[in-house]
Amino acid sequence: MSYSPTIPTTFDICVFEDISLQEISAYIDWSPFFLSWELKGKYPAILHDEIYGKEAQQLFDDAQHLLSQLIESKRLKANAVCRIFPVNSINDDDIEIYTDNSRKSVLTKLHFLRQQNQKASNQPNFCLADFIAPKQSNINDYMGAFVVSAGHHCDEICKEYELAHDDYSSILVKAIADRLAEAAAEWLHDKVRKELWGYDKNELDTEQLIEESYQGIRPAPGYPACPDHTEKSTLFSLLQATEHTGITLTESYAMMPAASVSGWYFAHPAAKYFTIGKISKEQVISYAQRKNMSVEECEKWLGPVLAY
Amino acid sequence: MTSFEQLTQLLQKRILIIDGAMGTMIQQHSLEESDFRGEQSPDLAYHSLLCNHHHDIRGNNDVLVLSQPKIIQDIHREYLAAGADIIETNTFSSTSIAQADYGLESLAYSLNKQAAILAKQACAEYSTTDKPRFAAGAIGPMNKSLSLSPDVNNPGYRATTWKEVVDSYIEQLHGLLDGNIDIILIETIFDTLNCKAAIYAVNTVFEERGISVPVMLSGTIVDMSGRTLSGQTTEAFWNSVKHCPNLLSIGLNCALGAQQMRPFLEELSRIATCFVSVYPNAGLPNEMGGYDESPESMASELKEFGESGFFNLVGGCCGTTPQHIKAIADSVHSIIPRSIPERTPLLRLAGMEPFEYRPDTNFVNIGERTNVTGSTKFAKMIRENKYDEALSIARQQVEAGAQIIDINMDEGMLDSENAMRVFLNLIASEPDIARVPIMIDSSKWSVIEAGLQCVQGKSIVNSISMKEGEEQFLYLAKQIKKYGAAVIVMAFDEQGQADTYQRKIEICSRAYTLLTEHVHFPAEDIIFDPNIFAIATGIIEHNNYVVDFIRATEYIKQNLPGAKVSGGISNLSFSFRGNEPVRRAMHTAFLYHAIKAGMDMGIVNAGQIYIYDEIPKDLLLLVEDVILNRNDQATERLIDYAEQIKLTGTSKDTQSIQSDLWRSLPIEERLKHALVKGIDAFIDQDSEEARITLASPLAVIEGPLMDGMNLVGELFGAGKMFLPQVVKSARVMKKSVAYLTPFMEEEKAASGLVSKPNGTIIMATVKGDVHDIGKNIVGVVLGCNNYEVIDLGVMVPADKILDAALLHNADIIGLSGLITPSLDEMVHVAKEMERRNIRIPLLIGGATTSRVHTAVKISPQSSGIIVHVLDASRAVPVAGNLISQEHNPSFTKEIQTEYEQVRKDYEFRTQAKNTISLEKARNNKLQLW
Ligand code: B12
Repeated sequence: MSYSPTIPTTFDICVFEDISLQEISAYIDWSPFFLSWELKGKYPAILHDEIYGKEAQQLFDDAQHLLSQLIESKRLKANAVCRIFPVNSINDDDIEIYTDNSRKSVLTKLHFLRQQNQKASNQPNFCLADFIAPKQSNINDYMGAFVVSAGHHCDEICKEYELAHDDYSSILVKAIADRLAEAAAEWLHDKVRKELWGYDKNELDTEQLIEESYQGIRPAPGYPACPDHTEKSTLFSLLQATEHTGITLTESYAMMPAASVSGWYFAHPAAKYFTIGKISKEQVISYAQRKNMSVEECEKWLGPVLAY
Repeated sequence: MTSFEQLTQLLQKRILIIDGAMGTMIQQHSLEESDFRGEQSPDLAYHSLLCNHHHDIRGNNDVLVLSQPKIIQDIHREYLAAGADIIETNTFSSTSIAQADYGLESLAYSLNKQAAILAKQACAEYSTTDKPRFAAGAIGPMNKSLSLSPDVNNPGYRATTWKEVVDSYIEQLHGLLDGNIDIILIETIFDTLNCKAAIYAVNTVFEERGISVPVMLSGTIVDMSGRTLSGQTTEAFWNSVKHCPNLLSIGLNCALGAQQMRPFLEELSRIATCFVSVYPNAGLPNEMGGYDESPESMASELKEFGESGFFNLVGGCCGTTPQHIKAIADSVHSIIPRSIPERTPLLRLAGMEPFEYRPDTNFVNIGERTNVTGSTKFAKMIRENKYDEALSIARQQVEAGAQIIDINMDEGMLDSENAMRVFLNLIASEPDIARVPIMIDSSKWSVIEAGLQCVQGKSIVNSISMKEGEEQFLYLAKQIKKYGAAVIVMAFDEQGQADTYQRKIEICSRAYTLLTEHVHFPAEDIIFDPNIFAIATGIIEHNNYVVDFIRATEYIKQNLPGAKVSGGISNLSFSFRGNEPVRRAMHTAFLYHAIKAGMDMGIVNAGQIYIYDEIPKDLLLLVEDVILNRNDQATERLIDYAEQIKLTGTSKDTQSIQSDLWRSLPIEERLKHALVKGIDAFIDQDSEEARITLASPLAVIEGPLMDGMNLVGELFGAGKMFLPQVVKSARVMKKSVAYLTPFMEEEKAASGLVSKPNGTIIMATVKGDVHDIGKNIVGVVLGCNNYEVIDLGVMVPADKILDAALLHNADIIGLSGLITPSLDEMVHVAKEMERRNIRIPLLIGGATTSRVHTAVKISPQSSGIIVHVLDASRAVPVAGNLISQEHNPSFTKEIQTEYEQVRKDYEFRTQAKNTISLEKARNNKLQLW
């Protein structure tokens, strides 16, 4: 029980416009890039892979070339917004966000799901809210939210290539923009840990970042620990994200431009990624009540995780 | 006459009747704990042991042979009176392992012997010369499984071991045989590996006692998906157990009623080369867990099966009574029994699914990346216990088309036996890997044996040889036969590895004779590896190695009937390490000739071969000279050529080696080359030259460009070319077409000639979703294969997609989506298609989509065909199959059957999906504060 939450350096909304692509490109995890080209393997080992090696190297050279063009031309833009909030967990599975650290008034509530599969002994049934101190503990806890994009003007650039009958470069640009979006999220997370929240000042290299060997996590709505995409609307309004970054949400909660990522920050050293798995109708009913949504609508958004 | 012969004679004449349920009959007596202990009968054996037993034994039906012998024997008598030819001893759970639940493991032997005596006595009372009666010793599946983990979180865990199971069965068999049973009946098999352990025990007991008794096997298909609990299909099950000694019959019992068993029984009766039995439950269980199919209805169903020629033995399982058996006996009385089909003996292996090597089967590619000696990457994962990653390698192999996967754990730093065991147990719970047969590869017998004890399917042992003499060779061959595996035999004897034609055929012939005549090893299960050695080493003696291999292959295929030939090919080109173009050319040319000579299978790295016709002609000539030892200077010339490649090639870029060369090719070849290699630097000037030379822009497209693209498609489909290359090829194509288009417009105006695509495909990312990389890649790849792709972009509403389909008279619609809400939108599109009566095929793809979701949620919305496509490589064959008139009906049908199956499996799994209550989950939350 020696952990006590660090008070963030700032509670303000932090906006970053036109982030240097040069700077964030150092944070790129290249492995998924190869995956999107059906070259399965980890970077950098894949460059020497028996089967894919040659092809992977060629592709990587092409990507590096395009990346430096994108950095130089400054046409592709990356933006981000984030904020740390005073919070406590309530009723096991929800989190209350307070307007300020006096914790007198509730700004909004976040809703999470809990694993319901039968566990081996001493394995808990996880819920993201477990990583936040419960209200009755009287511990002042915090969490963060962020949205980043590296896709502004991506479509324009791609269109130009397509007009020149060059789908290869168009797809490459998109794949690079996706990598830059992830890298920007990594860059921002690093900044948050070191400065804006300031709970972990350790310097890590790219490989350590990719292996997530830092304290805390940043699960994204839609990913397996929080499969409900609709929570993105709360996230966006908390950050006034559209206003600050130009990123919009579609009716299915996809973010425009495509190369965008959003998520939550949890700082507890025990916080980890997990998969919700299948949940029962009982939980859906409870969740619907908490979210003030009809059960049918909840079922529609949670379709793939329903156990019934 | 042996009992086997006696039964065979009877079975040729008539259908034999097996008895009905023992448990159902016992239940009717409503016995209490004191009855199970036999408290009322102080004279019986074990009376005081049972009365003083520390553990409740009510419910342990098998113990009744000691405590209530009269009840058991009377039940036997009732079944015999009803017309049963064969009655089962009351020993379903009489193994030490199953009895341990009641603390009665020490009684296992006595239970079996006593049960056998009771059944035999009853048979003797009813036997006549016309109608002899037989007691079958019933051997159940045990309550512990060798293939399934009882712990969902720990799929590699097993509650028992092969040795424990075998020993326990051996004890049971001794009891039954000491009680003189006539038949061994291994029944209700839900886990084939437990059954294989029982067969192994039977073999051992036969050896020990110097006897043999007919054996009947009966499996259990647990649900309508047609699989056993351990995941095998009917045919895979048969392939895995057909090595059972003295096998009288195979069949199905329990879990399902007769009606539900029909398709699986039909399948079994078609493939089993022994008699077939069936004894279903009295229908499916009702809400109370009871069975209520009446004797008459069950009898009439079984009669129909009998008339269809599905079985030779019939009876009943759970819920059936003497009335059922009587009704069944009466109804099948005059039916002519099924005759055993003739089947060509073929190499028939199994994972969860069957694998049959037919004469028309193409070269079998054995996956080789799960081999610690061949892949440093895999070795590292195993050393670091990263079994998850190791599994993904196995999965990739299967996904990439390996029909068998070779697994090798021979490394000094590893506990190889343990690694083999752990990895195979993990594979067992991954249906997408475990579906293919396993090749257990080790130079150590202990490792092979550890492997054989973990696989339920029929596998291949790789390998044994006569290196340590005949005795050891025969010993191992017998063991392998006992385990029911096929075998690779290396051409290796006491003197060493066979390196000449003469030695190769001598050793293989000798091994063949020993195996077929002394061990009675099935010839079709023998695979020879006549050794592929490195050639072009500079040592003259080595020059003829490949010729010798090829000739030996021919010899084996012609003179050793049934035997197959295999080999690992990468050795061959060892002297050209570091020179991939030459190595690949050598492998490709070698395979071309070896397969022609009859080589059946091999360990081949798909990345290490070309298409034969793709090898540059000058290189091919040199390589074939070397491989076929056609001329004295062959090696030197190839070395020269290789050096030259090295010199002219700039570091890693082998493409540029031939860069000057290809520019001097004729224009058509040049275009093709540019396309295949994805070089767009000269495309405008080449297109212009081609247009002039061929006198028509359309001829350029339909000639060299299409040829080139076809080759690209082919290479990509065969896994010999990768996606980035394909997209680059497409770029060349697009640019050339763009250059030619204005000329085509002129030509069209002049002559009316138009190029015709294979079909038109509408592509769109559905409403609400913005992701399009996957869709674009698929679009490009389809474009390469001469489909006209109309891409509507992202966030496209259903009506816009369907309007476009109608407007362009599309042949196919393709939908893409990245996030889960898009799944619902896809369901909506399918509904709209149905409503608007648009019945063209619909393809579903993108990160969150899946075959299961497509089958369960999308495909039922529409009467058209809907197919999930995993990735770009698969998009082409699927589109091809859907569009081509010839293939369409069977492909459509295949997909529909497959998806039907997926829906059933899904339903089955959802029923089984347990969640704990929300309250319980919350109480078990992570406590951090
Ligand atoms: C790369 C990636 C990203 C990138 C790029 C995504 C983009 N540009 O849209 C970035 C980092 C930006 C990203 C962001 C997000 N992602 Co993301 N991401 C992935 C990842 C790792 C790979 C996807 C990919 O690009 N693959 C490579 C391409 C080439 O493959 P593909 O699209 O699947 O296409 C192939 C096939 O599917 C098929 N195919 C595709 N379409 C079609 C169409 C037809 C007709 C046919 C025949 C075939 C076909 O062929 C293609 C080529 O082989 C997946 C996980 C995974 N392993 O799949 C998660 C994943 C898709 N992401 C996910 C999520 C949740 C998100 C976010 C919502 C997270 C967040 N809150 O920020 C955001 C949403 C972004 C947005 N714009 O709205 C989830 C979606 C699941 C869900 N529950 O909804 C996934 C599955 C991860 C997971 N396991 O949970 N993501």
